[in-house]
Amino acid sequence: MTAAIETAALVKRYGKKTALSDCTLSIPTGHVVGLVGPNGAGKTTLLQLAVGLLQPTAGQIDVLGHKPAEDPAQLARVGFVAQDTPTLSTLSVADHLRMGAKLNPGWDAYLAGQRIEELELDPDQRAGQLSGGQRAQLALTLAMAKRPELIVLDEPVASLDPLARRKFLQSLMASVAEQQVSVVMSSHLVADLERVCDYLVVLADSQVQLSGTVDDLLATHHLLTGPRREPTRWPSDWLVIEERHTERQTTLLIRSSAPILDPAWAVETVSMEDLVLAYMGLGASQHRRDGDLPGPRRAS
Amino acid sequence: MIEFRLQTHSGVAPYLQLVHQVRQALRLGLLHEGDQLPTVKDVASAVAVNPNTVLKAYRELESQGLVSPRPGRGTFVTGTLSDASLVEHNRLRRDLERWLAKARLAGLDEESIEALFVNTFRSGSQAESA
Amino acid sequence: MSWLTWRQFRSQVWVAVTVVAVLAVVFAITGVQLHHLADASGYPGCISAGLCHNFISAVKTNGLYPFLYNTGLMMLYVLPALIGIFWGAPLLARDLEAGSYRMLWTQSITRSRWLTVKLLLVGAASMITAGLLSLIVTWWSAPIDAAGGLQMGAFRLDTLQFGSRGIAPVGYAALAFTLGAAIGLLTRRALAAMAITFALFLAIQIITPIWIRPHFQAPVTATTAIAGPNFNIEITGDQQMRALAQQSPVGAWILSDEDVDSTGKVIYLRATDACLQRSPEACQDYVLGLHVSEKITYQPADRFWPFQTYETGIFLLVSLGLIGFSSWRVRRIN
Repeated sequence: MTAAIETAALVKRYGKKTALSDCTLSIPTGHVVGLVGPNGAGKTTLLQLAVGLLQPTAGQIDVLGHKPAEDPAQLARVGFVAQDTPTLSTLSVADHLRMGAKLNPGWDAYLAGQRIEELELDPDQRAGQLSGGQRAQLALTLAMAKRPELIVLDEPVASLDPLARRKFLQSLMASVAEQQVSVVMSSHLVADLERVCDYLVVLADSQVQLSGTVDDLLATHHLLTGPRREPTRWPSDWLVIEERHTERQTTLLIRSSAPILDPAWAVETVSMEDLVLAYMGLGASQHRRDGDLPGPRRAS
Repeated sequence: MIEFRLQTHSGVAPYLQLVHQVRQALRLGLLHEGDQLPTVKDVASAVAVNPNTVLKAYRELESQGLVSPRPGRGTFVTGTLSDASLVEHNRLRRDLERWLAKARLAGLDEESIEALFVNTFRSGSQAESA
Repeated sequence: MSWLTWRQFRSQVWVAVTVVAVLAVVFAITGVQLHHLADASGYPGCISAGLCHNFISAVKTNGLYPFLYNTGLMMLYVLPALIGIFWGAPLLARDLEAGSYRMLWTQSITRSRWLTVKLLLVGAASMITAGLLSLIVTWWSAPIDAAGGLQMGAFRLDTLQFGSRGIAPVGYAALAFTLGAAIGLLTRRALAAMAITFALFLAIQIITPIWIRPHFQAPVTATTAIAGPNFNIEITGDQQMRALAQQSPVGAWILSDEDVDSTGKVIYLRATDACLQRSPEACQDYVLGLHVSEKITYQPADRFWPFQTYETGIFLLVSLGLIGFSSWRVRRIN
């Protein structure tokens, strides 16, 4: 099966500033992928590379098995909602749908019309007069009604109030359920991602720190609490992501596919938020990849 | 028809929350055999949750023998949790009330009672699953 | 994409249509009257003799005609600049500046197509607008042009007239438009692109007639020795004068008109007391003793259309180059 997004040693520099370095990643289709990371980690860069708005400095990126934006057919297969959801402010909502119909051979006019009706958008209103939430919904409608196989969303809800955010995610999930479309979305809001994503990519320090299905990631990460132990003497199949020691206690976040049998450890499951924070911290603390697992050093 | 909701910071996986809610509804008699569960799309759009999560929850319920999908029509309740256990509810509740009275008598405040209960419950279920 | 271009551009089209229509009506009504006036004043018979004073005097008695003549002249210099500034510069820059390019370029059309359709449609509108206006103004001004303009010395081939007659405005409009669009693509800021386009296009409008147009074809030189009694003296300034022996060729674009000595070197005649005090014989003898000739360098009248073709052709080629640059550049916007 072709990957939704597949990159190999992808590099993007703006002048001397490196936005993305040596990024190798394979995201399968059929998921709602959450892309998280601190500001400036390269999320927008990665997404814009995927939709062909940017060209890589080095390395390569394939989207659904093809070069991004290589021809109209490829453009038709990928929908994009850019950050701050730009629209043409002087055009009305109806004009936007008409534009979508003119510019996209696979345009689903019924779907578009139905969505606009459900959202109670006034077709005659100019896009410039819409609220942020309405504009985001209009942009999502445009991206959805072209019937893409993959839809890429760059911080679509960042500027929305909680109600508009919820509505946006509701209609996104409805579309995913109905159209079987793959989604890759970046966001800071882990609580939202926890609901809607089943695949997680953590980008920090312009590199991929973590990537996998949420189920796998949650099943293989454990939070251990126990009496203080000297570091660097962990079992060989543990990957220690984060360790904290007090005088009496040691707390570890580890990745291990084997069950934790040592009774001295109190084992807790981790949440997506724990994972995101821990791996985002990795990028900041200069850890580098080691072996085939990204991110932390392998305990010896 | 059951209405789902998700708590974001509960620490319980979203699909498990959905499973628990169906089981709870069955237990309380809100859902009966033959009732239809909302479609995956309806749940996804109402709760703003990944459709795969809903599917996973329904499959889990299916494996527990509580629901079964009918192709092209939806997912229907086929099992029940209420009948047997509802009868027991009253007796168990009385036991619990007696235990709570004992705990208060021993000087435990509400918080300590809750912590004791949760701890015991957790270690019990961990021992079961290990 | 054509629909979207039309949708984004239609208000400008209506403005252009309205302006052209109003001007067409005004110039048509007054133009018919002007042509009647010309017929009544011995036009076109007066042209070959270079003696259309009657006609020009008649034109000047009604203030409206000189006003419209000058307006038409000015309009066809201003219009291409406006097209470059308001149609060309924001065409691409506005989408790039507002960020809407990120929405447009991820529809199912390539950005090259986005660029090409916009450039071709709005570019065609620019050229048609300029062409129509030039057609109106060229027709209206024809009798006055043929008579050498209001000052009787500037024909349609002359520095200022040439650029507002015939097909040249079409070339200017195409150049201004593609220049504006290309600059907009580079700056990605509409306002900056408008300012730069204005400055560059103004420079092109100034440089072309002064340094480029005179070299389309080698000018013709006519030298007449001042030898016989048939020459005129013209006091040109303090202690300076010219000896004039020939009529300027009708309809020509005079590039230079000088007195030269027997070696062909330009000389400036000093106005002697005899000449200043209007003593014709003494002055005449003095000038004859200098052995000078009057040398006129000019582009003859029949070069009007070849020159129009060259200038328009060059501008259209440069426009094509700018389109090529833009489509190369748009693929590299990162």
